[in-house]
Amino acid sequence: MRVVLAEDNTLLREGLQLLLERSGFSVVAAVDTAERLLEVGRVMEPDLVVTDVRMPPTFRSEGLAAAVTLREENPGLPVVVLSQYVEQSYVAELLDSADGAAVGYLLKDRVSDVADFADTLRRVHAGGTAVDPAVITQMIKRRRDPLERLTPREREVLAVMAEGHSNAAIARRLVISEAAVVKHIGNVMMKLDLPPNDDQNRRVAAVLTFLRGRSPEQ
Amino acid sequence: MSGREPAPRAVPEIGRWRGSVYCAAVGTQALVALAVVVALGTPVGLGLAGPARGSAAAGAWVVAGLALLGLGLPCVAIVLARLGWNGAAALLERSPGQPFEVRLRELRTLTRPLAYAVVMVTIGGVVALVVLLLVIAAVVALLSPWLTAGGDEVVIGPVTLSTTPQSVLAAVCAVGLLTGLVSASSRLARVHCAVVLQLLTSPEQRLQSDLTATVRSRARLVRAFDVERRRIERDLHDGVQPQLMSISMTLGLALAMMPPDAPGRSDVMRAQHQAKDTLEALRRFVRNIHPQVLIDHGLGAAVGELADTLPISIRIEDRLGDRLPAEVETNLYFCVAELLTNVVKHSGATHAVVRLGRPGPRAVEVVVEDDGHGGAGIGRNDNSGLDGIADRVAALDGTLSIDSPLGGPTVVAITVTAPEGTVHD
Repeated sequence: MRVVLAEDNTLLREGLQLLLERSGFSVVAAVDTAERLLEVGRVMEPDLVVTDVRMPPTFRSEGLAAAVTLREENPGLPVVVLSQYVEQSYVAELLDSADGAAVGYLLKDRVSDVADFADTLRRVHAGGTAVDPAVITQMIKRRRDPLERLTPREREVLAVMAEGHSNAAIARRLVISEAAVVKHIGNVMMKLDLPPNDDQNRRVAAVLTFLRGRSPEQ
Repeated sequence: MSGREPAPRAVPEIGRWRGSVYCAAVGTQALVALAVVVALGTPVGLGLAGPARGSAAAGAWVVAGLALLGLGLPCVAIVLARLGWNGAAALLERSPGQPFEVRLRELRTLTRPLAYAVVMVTIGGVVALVVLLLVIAAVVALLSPWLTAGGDEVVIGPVTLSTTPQSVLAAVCAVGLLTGLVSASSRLARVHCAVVLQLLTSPEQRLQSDLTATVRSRARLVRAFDVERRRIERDLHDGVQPQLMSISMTLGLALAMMPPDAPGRSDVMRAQHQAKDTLEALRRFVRNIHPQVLIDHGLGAAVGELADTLPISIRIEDRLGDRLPAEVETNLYFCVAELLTNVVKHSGATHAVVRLGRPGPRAVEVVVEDDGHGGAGIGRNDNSGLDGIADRVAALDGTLSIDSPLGGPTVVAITVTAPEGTVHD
C-alpha cells in the first residue's frame, strides 16, 4: 500500500516512516509542510494519506486543510489525521468531507500500539471510519442527554462501533458474544432513533453524524 | 521608563547640541518677552520718573501703563507658556498630551502661565541677557586678532585689547567660554524643562498621565503573559511532546518485534504505559496553557472543548458569528476558563450556561450562569480568580458585573468592545 506521510517534526516523521515500513506499508513520500503534502498527494497517487494537523508555516490546522482539499479533488482518497489533541472541531471538519468514509482521526499516542495502528490504517484504507476512542468518549459526554437513555454497556458498544470495528471485533474487545453485540447495536439504534443498516461504514457514519450534528457549536 | 509615556517628573539627559539650540530658542523667547513687557511698562516708568508735568499727568501715565500691562501680560504669558510647553515636549520627545488649558471665563487657569511668564521674564530674562552678552563678547574676542593686526583697538567691557598677543589670548579664552556655554546648555535645557513641567502641569494632570501610563502598562503586561503562554505551549508542543512520543513509538516498535514470551517484555510494556501516561498528563497541561483550537476555530469552539473536560454539565450558547480579534478571544477565553473553574470549585453547581453574544455592533458579551449557592465577589480570598478576571477585563477596557446573591444563582457578565466583523489575524 502506497502511503504519503506528512509530519513537520523530523523525529516523529522518521519514526513514523520506520514504523509504517516495518508494518508492511510503502512510504512513497514523507514531507514536512502542508504545501508539499498537496503537491505529492496530487502527483504520487497514494493509496492512503497520513498527516499531522498542525504544520508550517502558521502551525494551525494546515495539515487537516490539505487533507480535506485532497479528498475534495480525489473523492474517496483515504486519509488518516494524527493529532496531539482531542478537538472535536477538527473531527467535525474531517468527517464533513465525503460523509466520513475512509477517514481516520487518531491521537498521536495511538501510534505506539504498532499493530493496532497498522490495523486502523488498513481499516480506513478499506473505506472505514476510525475516530479515536478518546474523541468518541468526549462526544458521548457532550451528547449526554439523549445518550443517558443508553445503558453503560450500550454506550461501550457505541464507542467501539464508532471506531469502525466490525461486530466480531466489538465482541472480542468487550468480551461478549457477537449475538449480544447485535442486540446491543439494535437497542442503540432504536434509542438514538437511527434506522438499522447492515453496511458497517454507513452505520458508523450515521452514529457520528448523529453525534456531531447536534453538538452545541453546530 | 520608555520615552513614549508622559511622566512629568523625570527629565532625561539631553544632547549638547540639541541643548544649545533649545537654549538659544528659549533665550530668544525670554528676551522678546522681556522687551515686550518693558515696552508695555514704559508708561509707568515715564509717569513715575518723568519730568514734573503735574501729578495728574504722571498718574495718567501710570494708570495707562498698568492697564497696558494688565491686558498685555496675560497674552504674553499664554504665548510664552505655549511655546515653552511645545518646546519642552519636542525636546523630551513626548506626546504633548494635554498641557495647561486657559479658559477666559476661569481666571484661575491663567495662574500657571502667568507664574511661568514671571519666572521667564525675571530669572530667564537675566540669564538670557547675561548669556547673550557673554556670547557677543566671545565673538568679538574671536575676531580681535584680525582687528588688532589692522591697528585697531578692541574694547570688550572693561578690557581693552591693543596688541596681537593680548587678542590671541582673548580669542583662546573666548573659545573656552563658548565651549563651556555649549556644554552647560544641556543642563540649562533640563532645568528649563523641569521648570516648564513643574509650573505648567497641575498635580491632577500628572496623576492623570501616570494613570494612563499604568493602564497601558497593565494592558501590555496581560498581552505579554499571553504571548509567553503561547511560547511555552509551542515549546512543549514542538519540543517535549514529540520527544516523548518518539520514545513511546520506539518502545512500540520494540514490542512489535519481541516474541510474546521474550524476557523483559513486560518491562518494555510498562515503560510504554508510563510514557503514555506522561504524554496524557503533558497534553492536559499544555491545553490549559493555551488551547490550539482557540486559534483555529475561535472562542465558541474553544469554550466548548473546555466544557467537555469539566465534571459538571455546561451548555454553550454561541451567537458570536464572526471571529473576534485574537487578543479579545484569548482574554475572554481565559476569563471563561477561570469562571468555569470557580463554578466547579466553589459554587457547588450542577449545571452552568455560557452565553456568547454580540448585544451591539461593537460589543461582545460573555455571560456565565450557574445554579450554585452564590456568594461570589471580587476581593475575597476564596474567589481570588475573580480578581484576575477583573484585571483582564480592565486591560480590555471592558466591564465586569457579578450578581451572586447568597443561595444563588450566580450570573457573571463581561462586556468588551470589539470592531464589527473583524477577521482573526
